[in-house]
Amino acid sequence: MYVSHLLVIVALVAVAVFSGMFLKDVSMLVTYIICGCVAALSLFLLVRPVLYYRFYRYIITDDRIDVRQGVIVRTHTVVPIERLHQVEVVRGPINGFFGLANVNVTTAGGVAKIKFLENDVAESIVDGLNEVINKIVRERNQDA
Amino acid sequence: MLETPTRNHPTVVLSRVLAVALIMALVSIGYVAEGTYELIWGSVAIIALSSIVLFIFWAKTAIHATDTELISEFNFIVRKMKAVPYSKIASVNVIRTLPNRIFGTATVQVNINSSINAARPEISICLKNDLANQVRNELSARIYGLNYSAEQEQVYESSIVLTNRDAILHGLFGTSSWFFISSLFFTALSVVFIVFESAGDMMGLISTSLLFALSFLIPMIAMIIRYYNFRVYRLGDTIYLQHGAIQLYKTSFKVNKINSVRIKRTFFARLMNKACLEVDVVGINATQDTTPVLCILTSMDNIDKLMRNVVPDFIYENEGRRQPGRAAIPWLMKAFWASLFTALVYAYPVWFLFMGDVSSLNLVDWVIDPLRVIVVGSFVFLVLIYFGAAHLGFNNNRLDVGKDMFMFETGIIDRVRTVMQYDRSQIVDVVAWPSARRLGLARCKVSMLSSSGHSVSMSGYYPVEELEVIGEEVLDRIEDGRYDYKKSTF
Repeated sequence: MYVSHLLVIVALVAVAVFSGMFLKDVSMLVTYIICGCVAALSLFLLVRPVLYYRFYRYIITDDRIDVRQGVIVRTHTVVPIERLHQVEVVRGPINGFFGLANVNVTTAGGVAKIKFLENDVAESIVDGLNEVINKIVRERNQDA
Repeated sequence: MLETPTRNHPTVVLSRVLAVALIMALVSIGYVAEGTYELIWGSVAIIALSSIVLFIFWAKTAIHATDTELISEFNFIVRKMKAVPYSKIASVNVIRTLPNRIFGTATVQVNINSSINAARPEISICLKNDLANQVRNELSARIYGLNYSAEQEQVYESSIVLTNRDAILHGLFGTSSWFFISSLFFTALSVVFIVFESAGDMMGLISTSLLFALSFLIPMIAMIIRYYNFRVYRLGDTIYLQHGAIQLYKTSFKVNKINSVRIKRTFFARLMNKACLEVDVVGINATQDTTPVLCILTSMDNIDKLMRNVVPDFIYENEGRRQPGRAAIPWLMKAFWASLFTALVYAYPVWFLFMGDVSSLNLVDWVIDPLRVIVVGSFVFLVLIYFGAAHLGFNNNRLDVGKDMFMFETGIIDRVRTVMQYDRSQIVDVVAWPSARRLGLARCKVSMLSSSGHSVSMSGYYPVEELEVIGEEVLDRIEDGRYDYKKSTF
């Protein structure tokens, strides 16, 4: 998360520098406003990973996946395991470099994510969830 | 019916080739205007090539039905076979587009319970009109256990009487009020331009007329044509919808495919004490009906009658609770932040107009003062809108948590009452912004499978513990067996 945020900060600073170069002759006020916004946003992006980690919680029980996350906007997501259609491990290039992965759980109504897990933890979660889903399917087949 | 492999009607190739030819003819007009006649041969080559490709696709695609499934096969270089078991079919539609009417054909579209394929039908076949209706009826007989002919179908009366006047009103006032007001704004702009600016300016007149047509006239007429001759009725567990003036749209789906019901009352509809009814149905072709309209704009009495006759399971008697008094604070905070952001955007123009070197604008002197009034006035107007919206948002939201269903009533200018079943909820989010969190409030976001993939409904601000009841109830119903997966649509 730090790395992806640093990349965003670099892009923001580049935007501020370029806009400063072009706008300094037009209005210094606008340049100051842009620089101020970039500085505030960069500061937030630097602090966000710590806060994100502090507030992030997930738990997987027999019947649900429960995720609590968010720094400014806090979200509590409840996904009944019975509703799962698909479970997958997703590794982006930055996550992959640091041995991390996300678990995406797909239901008929959308996707819920458990983010920034260590690879082996992500794999074990997916294995566990697949086992539960298969158990549900087997039980239903027996019923039928 | 389709016992042997059957191809699409050959006019499918013809109509598609004609469509390509029409596009290329429009492109070629540019070549002619530029005098580059040799490029027209390129257009001819594209038409010829597409004719060959379309012919091959037509010749090598066939559909047939077995006792248990409908099979579509394509066999040219690669072999593709798609089998759809009758048990997985969610809806069967018959569509008659303008080319279909010209050639005396109709297209049967078969949709399944899938969010991935929601945007287009799983299997589609164009046949002679009578054969298409026969195929639809036989498929309906297999799926819904009902057997009737196209002639019998005409006999069934609509559950409520809807006239074409209702279709016209729906075309005018059935869309969101924001869309209607913005369309009126553009229309007024066009009229002003035509009257004051475009005297003698033909290009200006054409462009403003186009703006008026695209923003108001065409969408309105398209909507009226689409919902003309609207009929809705229920036979057994199946709901039938039929509408359309030029393109006829017929669909049928089982009641248990409905995930939620929405009573929509736009601002203008409320003035007339009217509403329209929409349903989220799994497996209806979203390209035709993103959210199927179960009833076009009609009186509230008619809506009540239709709900009693067609979707009685979704009748929700409770009016719902308003948001608690402290919920006014997050709404006001939203308006405050929006105003602050707008103030930042306006800061420079206002500073420039009052303190800057206005002469650099090269404007006539008498324009400056009205310009200042317009800029400051528009800022004040926007701030008033934000706070007005906050006031309405606080007053209009309702929530009720029932035994088998729950209800959100939302909206600022247009009001939407959404009745949802716990058993169809897929993901439940409780979302809290800082201003709400400090007061122990949050909003509830419920994701469901819908005709267009998935849909989301959002409540107003309520105590967190009251909203978490929804997710807990979903889980409890699974746990104690009240949720029966056999009745589920997925």
